Amino acid sequence: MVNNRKIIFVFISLLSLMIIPGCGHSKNVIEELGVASAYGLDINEQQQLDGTTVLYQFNPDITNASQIIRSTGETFSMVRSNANKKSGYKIVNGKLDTILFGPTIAKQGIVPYLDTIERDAAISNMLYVTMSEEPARDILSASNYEEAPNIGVYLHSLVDKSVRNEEIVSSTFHEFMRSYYRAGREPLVPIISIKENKASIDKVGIMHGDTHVGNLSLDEVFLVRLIRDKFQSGRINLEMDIEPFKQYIEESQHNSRKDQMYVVLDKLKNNTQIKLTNVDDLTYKVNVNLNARIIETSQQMTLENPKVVKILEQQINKKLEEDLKTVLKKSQQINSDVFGFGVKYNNHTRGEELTREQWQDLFPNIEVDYNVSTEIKRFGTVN
Amino acid sequence: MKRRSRQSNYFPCKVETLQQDLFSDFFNSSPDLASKKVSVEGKTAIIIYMDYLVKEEEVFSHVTTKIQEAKQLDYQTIESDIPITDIMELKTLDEIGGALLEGYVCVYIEKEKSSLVIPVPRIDQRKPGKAETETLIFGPRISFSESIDMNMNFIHKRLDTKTLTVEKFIIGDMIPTEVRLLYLSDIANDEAVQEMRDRLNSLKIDDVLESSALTQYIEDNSYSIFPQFLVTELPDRFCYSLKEGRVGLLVDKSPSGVIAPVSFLSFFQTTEDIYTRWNMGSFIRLMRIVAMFLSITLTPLYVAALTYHYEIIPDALLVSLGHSRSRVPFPPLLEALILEFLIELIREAGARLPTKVGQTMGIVGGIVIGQAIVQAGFTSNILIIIVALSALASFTTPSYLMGSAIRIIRFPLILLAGFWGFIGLIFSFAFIAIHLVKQRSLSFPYFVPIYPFQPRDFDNSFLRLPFLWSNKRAYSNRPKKIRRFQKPNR
Repeated sequence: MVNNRKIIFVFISLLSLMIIPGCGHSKNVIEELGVASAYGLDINEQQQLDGTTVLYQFNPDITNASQIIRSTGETFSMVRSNANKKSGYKIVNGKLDTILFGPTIAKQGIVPYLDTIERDAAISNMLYVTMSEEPARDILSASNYEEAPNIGVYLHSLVDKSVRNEEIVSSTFHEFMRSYYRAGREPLVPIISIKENKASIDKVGIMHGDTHVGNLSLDEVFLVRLIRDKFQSGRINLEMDIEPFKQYIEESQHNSRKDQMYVVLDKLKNNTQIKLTNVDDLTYKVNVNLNARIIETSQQMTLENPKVVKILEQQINKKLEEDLKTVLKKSQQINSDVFGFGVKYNNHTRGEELTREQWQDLFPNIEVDYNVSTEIKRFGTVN
Repeated sequence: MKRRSRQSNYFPCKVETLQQDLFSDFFNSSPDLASKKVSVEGKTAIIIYMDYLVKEEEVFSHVTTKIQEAKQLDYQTIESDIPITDIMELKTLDEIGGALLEGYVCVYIEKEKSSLVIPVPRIDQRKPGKAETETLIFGPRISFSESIDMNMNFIHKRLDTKTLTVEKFIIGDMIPTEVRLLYLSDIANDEAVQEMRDRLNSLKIDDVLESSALTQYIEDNSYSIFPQFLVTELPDRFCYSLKEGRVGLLVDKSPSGVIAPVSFLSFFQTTEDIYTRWNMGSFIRLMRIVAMFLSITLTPLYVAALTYHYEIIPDALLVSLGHSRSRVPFPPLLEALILEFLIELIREAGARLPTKVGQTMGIVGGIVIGQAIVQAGFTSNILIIIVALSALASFTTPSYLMGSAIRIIRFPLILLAGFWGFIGLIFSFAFIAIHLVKQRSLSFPYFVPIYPFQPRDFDNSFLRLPFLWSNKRAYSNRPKKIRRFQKPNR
């Protein structure tokens, strides 16, 4: 009896080994796949979606060419299935790590397309959302992408490096959607531009909801990050009036005719506190405590002198406060709260959820009083 | 005739009759039965022996000559003349026949009521040599030999203590073989000793063959792929285990000792870990466990990832994997099976061939076939690396039996990974884990100190901590004395 049961058990196990795989997920043998690393989306003249799919190239004989497929369709899913028709490989999205929206879509709103991605469990939430001011297909056709296997991987490492270097605000799919659904802080999306056949980031797009409304230069992104994020080891290049330093600049350099000087700060850490001082008048007080290291000044001066450092710190404070006001004014004009003041407001008005529309009415009228205090910790070996 | 030979009052008889009866009845007319008639003062005696079972020179010098030179022919004189101990008087033909087979010489004086048997056995044995399967770089190199006397000699020399207890068992109905049970009576757990005693007593087989064959008869679960008794050829390993409170078996004619109860981790330890310094020993022990794990998982992981889960392959590796896979005509499962089979083929061929040819075989198999198989597009070169790595890792296991188990267990894992992907892999890991937790070695838990969880044994299982920190024997063996020595007050 026992023996019989054992035989039946073994038989059933072996049988299930053969049969059950049919019920499981389909096979994805790697060399039969067109693994997409980036999608670019535009809208063409016929108001159709025009998609560009960048695939990994597995043929060892072709070393330096992105495998790119163009396809059109009414929806993102149709674009994908049309791309599939044009390829001998089965196109899969499991390694997708960049999605690029052209200006035509960025002006209309990108969330309808991201929604499709959200539903696909195979797609990583860590993919970077990017935009461009030229058609996405042109960016993805750029032929210079360094040592990366294709332009998609290059774009990903380009964005990833900038995020790691604390140059831009991270815009992974997850972070974008979080900012999008949370009233009071608008998403920022890096803008990819193309120069001499090579893609680069030199500005960041301000979103209003999911539409692209304006740009910030990388210097302005620094100021936004100062309020919005925390720097671990940031770096900034400041342009300052030379006048207060005149008497300390060394003799040999005195003859310089410039009335501007440049200071580079490194290893920058910040501690920012935002206080809503008056809920009715919407006045904020922002205290920014900075500490950093000077690694370069365009004029030689004796940094050993505490007075010089003191003046330098004051000048940096003044400069940053002015710049922060300018950026705020800019964002109020296009009515997009990139700093996240709305989140603070929402925290103060407990009980009722702030809506996007409410904050749009309030944001242009807020008053912010910036108070930056810089501490220069070291000035390195440069003197 | 037949009936007569079985009778207890067989003697007295004529010398010719005895010789004839032994020759035809007992030895089936064997051509090797030698006999010599001697006559002294009218009395006739006969000397009978099997010529290849005795030392003939000694028979001539100590038996034949003494009898020929004896003043009178009776058993008392002969016994006092011959300088050999353990001379017996036997009365039946069966007993005499049995004694002759053990290397005795039979002397019968006509008209006496019994016969004399004198032990002059010839035992040809090799000298104790270096260990072959469990080689050490650092530490004693001597290995057990095929003679139980010599093996007992090694152990007594190493364990010069009065508490070393030896029990003798005779196992085998057709070919009786001597089995010795060894333990230290003041340390070994009584239950373990009694369990082993019971298992040996209740064992009814025709022949023992070898100690590793004996373990398969008395193991807790002989269906399992994992060995539950440790078979070692190193006397120092054997003695170390006895000192830890384990029970040992020695089998005659077998060059290896058996140790029980042992845990799964015992198979990944060597005495070398103890001879070297603690930090090196700990590192090597951990490395072996990691190697075992890699050896089991790497190839199935490759198969599963390439068949189902391309998402988990890192970006940088994806391209090179894709490149090498793009020329391979087989699915990853078949590719992996072919290569694993090839490695096993090379290993087996290397083991069967004489040493010199074996080395050539390794080069041919490893380099030539390895190179050519990638160039021919049979497999991807990344798989070659993975398979070679996991084969290498499996050889770091000190126990040959456990190493083989690890190599074989890979195949079902690869199959499951190929059919079900990671689900299959997790399923098989769960299966192995459940199996290991269920196993017992001499009724002691096999998967200690992980299950049952025994953190006090970690000092000398996963790790090898300094002696001052691990002055206790393994709790899981439940020895009578847990402390090996008192910690000095410092």
